[in-house]
Amino acid sequence: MVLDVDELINKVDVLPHNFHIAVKAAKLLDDFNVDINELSQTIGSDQALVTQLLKLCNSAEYGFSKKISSVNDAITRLGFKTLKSLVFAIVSKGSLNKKLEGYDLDKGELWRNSLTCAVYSKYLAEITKYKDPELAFTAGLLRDIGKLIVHQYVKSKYKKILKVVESEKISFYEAESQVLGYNHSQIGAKIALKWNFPKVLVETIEFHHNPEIAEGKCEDIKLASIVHVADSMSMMLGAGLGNDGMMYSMNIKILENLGLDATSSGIENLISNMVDLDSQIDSLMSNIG
Amino acid sequence: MEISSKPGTVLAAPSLGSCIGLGIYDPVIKLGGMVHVVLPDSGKIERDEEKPGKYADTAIPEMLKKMISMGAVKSRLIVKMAGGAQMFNIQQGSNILNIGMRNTIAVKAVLSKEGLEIKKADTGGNKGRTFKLDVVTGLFSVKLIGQEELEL
Repeated sequence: MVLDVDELINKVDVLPHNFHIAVKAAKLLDDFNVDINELSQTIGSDQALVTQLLKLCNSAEYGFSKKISSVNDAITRLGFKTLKSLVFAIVSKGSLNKKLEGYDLDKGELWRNSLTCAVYSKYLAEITKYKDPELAFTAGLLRDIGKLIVHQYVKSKYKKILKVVESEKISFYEAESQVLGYNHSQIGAKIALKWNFPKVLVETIEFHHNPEIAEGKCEDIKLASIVHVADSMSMMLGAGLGNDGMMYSMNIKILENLGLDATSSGIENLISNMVDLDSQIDSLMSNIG
Repeated sequence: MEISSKPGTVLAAPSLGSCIGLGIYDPVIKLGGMVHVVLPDSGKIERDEEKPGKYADTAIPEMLKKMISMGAVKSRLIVKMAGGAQMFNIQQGSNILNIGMRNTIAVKAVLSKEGLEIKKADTGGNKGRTFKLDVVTGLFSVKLIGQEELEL
């Protein structure tokens, strides 16, 4: 049975416990006059999160010679932006490290795919001089949360969706919309709203497949564009592909809008650099446990 | 790039999107090699330090050289490949994103230069694949995501 969007969102669980902390910490971190003690207490209220955070920021990736031993220490040495993206990465694992039957994703595959998109988004943010590469990391990480819900409905309608993809030559998410009445980016945005995510994340999740129509509906089109390209690249490079495979399209114009070299050798150079980020992704996979 | 003759080893190129998994096998000495080709041509890359493993034009000769040094004989080699999928719905007239197809063409060209032929291939489309080679039996298999694993 296909539900309408509102019914579907009503079925979405309330915010998973530890996301509360990430969202609260993100709000505090966005506040220019943040009270460090309050922030430290917020993060410190979840011991598992603290353990994970310290493990991650002491991993070789961050290269601190002196061990980070407390939340306060992490706040001052990592900086607010990095801290925020790490907290989101840690709390996301509980939700994203799941088997999604409808997309034929085994446990761990959506998680790897999401971390890959996060790392690629951050890299693209850096090379296009986007103001906040850590925010790009978080946006890339969470762009497919809609799949957590939509997969159950994709499962029962998969053959029909595939038929529409083939007969109408449209992308998988457009076919999702036609067959189910909604798609995973739309539902993802509604979940993000329900979970009280910052507005910029809600909008990026909604427009990550089609930033070209986001004008006027999305405050940060550059971020949506970055995530669009990172999402496409993680598909091309096969990180945690599901049964929707590469049935999506990447808009070359978006590459140009970002100021990237959209010739074939430009794209090959980009891919070559992105593949070299695999060790970072592996390190995140093994350090967020 | 992975080369092995160790019993029990299954060489795998998992999660192939537009990349190609190329498997080469010498049935006499039961030596297998698997390379994960990401891009067609190292010559287009504007960097000096490059790992040869990523590109068709560098990875394949390198793997062949290593296999031959380990006792493989060119005339005995069985070569199969899988992968090379494409993003869907590429804008008409643009082959900029056709990395999958360009990889496929490049792998074939390099092999032909080496005097080798591809015995079987499963390439193209827009689904992800996993490609494997069992070094004991010499069995190649390919699994399209969402489908059963099949012998190639």
